[in-house]
Amino acid sequence: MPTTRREITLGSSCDHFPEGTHMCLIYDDDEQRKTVLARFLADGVTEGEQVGYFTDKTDADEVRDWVAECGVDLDDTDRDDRFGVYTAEDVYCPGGRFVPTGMLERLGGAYDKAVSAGFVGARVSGEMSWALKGVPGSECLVEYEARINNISETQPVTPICQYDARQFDGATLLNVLKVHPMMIVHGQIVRNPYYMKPQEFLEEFRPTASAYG
Amino acid sequence: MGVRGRVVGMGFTCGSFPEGTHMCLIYDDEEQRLNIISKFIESGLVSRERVGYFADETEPERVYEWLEESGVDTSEPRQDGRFQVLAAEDVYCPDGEFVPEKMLGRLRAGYDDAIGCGCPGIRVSGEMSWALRGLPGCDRLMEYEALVNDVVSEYPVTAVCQYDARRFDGATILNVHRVHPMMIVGGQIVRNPYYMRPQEFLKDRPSTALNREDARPVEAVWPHGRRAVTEGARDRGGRSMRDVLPSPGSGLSPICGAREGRAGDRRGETL
Repeated sequence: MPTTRREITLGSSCDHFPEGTHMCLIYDDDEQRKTVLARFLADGVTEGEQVGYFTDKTDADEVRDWVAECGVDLDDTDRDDRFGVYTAEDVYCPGGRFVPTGMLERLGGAYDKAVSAGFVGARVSGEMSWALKGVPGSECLVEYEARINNISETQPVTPICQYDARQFDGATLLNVLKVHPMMIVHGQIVRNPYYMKPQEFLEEFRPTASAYG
Repeated sequence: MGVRGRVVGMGFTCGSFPEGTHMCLIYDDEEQRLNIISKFIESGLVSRERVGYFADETEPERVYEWLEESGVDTSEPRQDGRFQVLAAEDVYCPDGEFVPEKMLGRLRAGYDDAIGCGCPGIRVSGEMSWALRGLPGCDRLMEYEALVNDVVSEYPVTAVCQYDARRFDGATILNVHRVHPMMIVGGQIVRNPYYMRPQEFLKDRPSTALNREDARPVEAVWPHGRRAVTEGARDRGGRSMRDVLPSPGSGLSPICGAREGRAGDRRGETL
């Protein structure tokens, strides 16, 4: 459990941010998305963090290529160590169900394990379109996103949650905006005016079954 | 025009803002929306501005009721035409088509007319769900919203554009963010990080007016007979833009009648 949160670079700008910064990337342009993600992931490896990518649509080799294009060499022996690409559904929905509490434990646990293994921290990014397939529990996604903000003090894994605006509906995107303290806009990390503290958000949140396909 | 640097209160939040502030309200809670909008209207009426409300989902009578419930007397401003509740489709799509250039013209004319009548300014708010019915030109809504930012720098119409997040798709909601310099969040007016200048927003969108040459008169693109035109829309066909934000006492037909007459084809909820 860190006493002070490290300041880290997140690829999108020259600034430093506290580790555990929880960001959303709402996008409709694949090229811009790639630019943001490539630098975020490459910066993580360079900083000595353990980096995880949870893919739904993108080929694992392509993700590795993004990082390589940023000048970060990932040789085969690193495959499951410094940098790993995992199938989003396996990560978020083991056993075919999404359970927020379970996922929060895995996320926090991933940070603890990374630090125990000698990494300075952990960062992850997930393609959230896995939640559009009707897997049981998917309707709890936004609740989970809100609760991530409760663990970022003690297990400061740094996540970018990717939402393709062309796939999610407006109501879900508005909720996504309400649960991410920071967001990536025009390639910059900015404070998100929509953000609500988890308790405040969860009090008024009513999941809509239609929101997730 | 605009050079006076007039500031206005918004009613729902403290402080003063430059007139011509172009805001979006992306909402999923009806009560919060009513609270914000009724105070926005009330504050305009109190400062003797001209106020236009373009209703789509809300019954016009309900708009008056919101205000009456908050103790606002709407009878006098309604009588002298300073406060008008109009059917959004009649305002944005007279003739059954949305033509951004024409709507921008109506905004300019509305401002000039309000000033000409001795009002200190004008504010409007529109329920944007009219754009979900697939009327011709609706796909140009974001282009219009972007260009509003150019217009209000000279003709400072203060505007709140209402988008129900439960009805618009995600791609549209993202674009709505890009074209409004300010937004209303948690009842506060905040600078919108997603905002892009109109030219910047429009340059990557090849279907937009800056790159189009087909911004011809409506008839040239949509000759009569190629689409259903309601009687109400046909009646208004030859009237000037100014008629939609009319000067006091100009006798625009009541909104209820106009709503009954409009074409109601719903082609889905995307733009």
